[in-house]
Amino acid sequence: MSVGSNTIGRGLELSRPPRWLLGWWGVGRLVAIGTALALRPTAWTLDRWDGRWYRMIARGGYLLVPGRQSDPAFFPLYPVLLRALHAAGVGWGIAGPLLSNVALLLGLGLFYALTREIFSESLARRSTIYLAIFPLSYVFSMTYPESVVLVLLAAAPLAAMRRHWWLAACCAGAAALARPEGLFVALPLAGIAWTQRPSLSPARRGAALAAILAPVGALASYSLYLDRVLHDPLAWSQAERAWGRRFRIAGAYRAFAHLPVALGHTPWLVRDVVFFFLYLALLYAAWRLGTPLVWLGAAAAIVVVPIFTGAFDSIARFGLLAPPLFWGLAALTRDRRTDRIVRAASLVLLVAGTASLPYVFP
Amino acid sequence: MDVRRALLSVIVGLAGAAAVTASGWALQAGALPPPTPAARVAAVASAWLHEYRFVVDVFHYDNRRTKGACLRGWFGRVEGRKTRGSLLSIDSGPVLRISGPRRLSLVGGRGNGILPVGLAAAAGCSRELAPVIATAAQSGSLRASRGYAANQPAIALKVSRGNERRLTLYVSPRSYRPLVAIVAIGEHEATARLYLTRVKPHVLSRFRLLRLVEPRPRR
Repeated sequence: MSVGSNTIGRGLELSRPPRWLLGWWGVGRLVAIGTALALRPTAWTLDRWDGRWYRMIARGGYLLVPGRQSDPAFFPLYPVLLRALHAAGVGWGIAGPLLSNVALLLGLGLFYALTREIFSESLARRSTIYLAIFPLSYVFSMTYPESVVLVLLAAAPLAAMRRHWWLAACCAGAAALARPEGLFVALPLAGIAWTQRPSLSPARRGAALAAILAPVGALASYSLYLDRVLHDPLAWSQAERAWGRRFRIAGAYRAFAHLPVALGHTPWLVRDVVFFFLYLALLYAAWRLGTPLVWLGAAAAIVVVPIFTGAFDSIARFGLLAPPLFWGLAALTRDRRTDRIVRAASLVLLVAGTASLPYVFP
Repeated sequence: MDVRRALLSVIVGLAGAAAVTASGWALQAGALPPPTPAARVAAVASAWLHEYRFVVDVFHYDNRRTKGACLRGWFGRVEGRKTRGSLLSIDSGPVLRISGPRRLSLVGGRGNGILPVGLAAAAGCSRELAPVIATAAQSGSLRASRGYAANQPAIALKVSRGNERRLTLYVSPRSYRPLVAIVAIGEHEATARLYLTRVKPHVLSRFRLLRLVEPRPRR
């Protein structure tokens, strides 16, 4: 093991994942990958939709084509990792699903450790299982960055809670380089820094400040890079517009007002609308559980901010990166019967969700 | 003393955030390839075609020269619903509505047999040219070379779509504005000199397109 990975291991005090965690990771992946392979016996199902764009960036870098959907809308960390994996000899079609599935195991381990530190072992266990088999968790097996972001979003606050602020800064920065949701990890980090404030030395406080600012710094690095290669620091925002995503104050009103028309065009959108309201209910459950407000704020931002682009598209997927939603779900299933019902329903919906992949993007 | 400690924290914090920015930039610059010059040129050429919805064409086919014009937009259909597409008018020939690949309908004039309409649409309409060039730029299936077109030095962007279809788009070396498109489908080849122009009523009228784009009076 290298010096770098030793340092990270010490920072997060990672132990071997418990057997039950390995088991549920295996069950979730077996269901998702098995269904995908049943649809078509190749990596096609797991490597499509946005996966094509990530692969395109990994192979040829960024290119902005004004007025047309183009790749600067996709953040760079995942393509960098795909490229590294390809350089190690893994084929392009397999690199994405392989990276995502392996990262998910690490992400679940970190999520479990984080939840155990904030709540109890039993709640940590239940919420980790729900995350592993959540109906939308087939995304964690696709050429999508969600698994990698889950690792970083769980690692950053965990490192911060254990006072490894520089490691937290690296993870928070990397999270923002992988998905825009990474920006919101600054909120829990700020909360943790505030609680540790009296006992931190000035240098450690500086490191904590660096961790809070790291996501913004990482986003700035992406803009600087785009300015260098495409001569447009806001190319990612311009590319988003070609997908019909544009932040406006009236966007939330527009999302609701245009919903009937949008549902007429794309009936699949009902999935995202249902999950949007489910997520709001789970946020309420997380609040009742006693989840710190900074965490609730970050999760609310992940779920609510996207509708300010005027659409509900993909909100179901975005929610995968909001830990409080799974804490809220686990808070509702304290008795065994409810727990079993949620697990069984999740697995059935996971099959249905994966089977929908040839028809609709996640 | 407290101020100095706070200042130290802020300096360390800002330096740390700057280090994250610098290392993030270095990671991207080191790991991701920059776009190829051909892809850049094609992206700008595609943007020109995207920006101009009206093209006046001079077609060359089978040693014959004929003028035409192509307008991109939303046009009325027989049932009254509007649909996105192009209107292609060939001088003293047909006026066609193109609403998708292989979806051509005659809306005026008559076929004169001088120029195959599929070739004319592929070479002379911005709505047909832009996605071909953009897709080729994004997928890297594009070659650029020096050339000469429209009586000036030009950059030739060559795109092959299977064995049967080939497109060569000549663009200005300074602005990357499209100048000439050569489309070959099988053994047939047509050349279009492209004049990207703003939509003007007298030009539309000259090409029999004005009545097709004017809103019909409400009854």
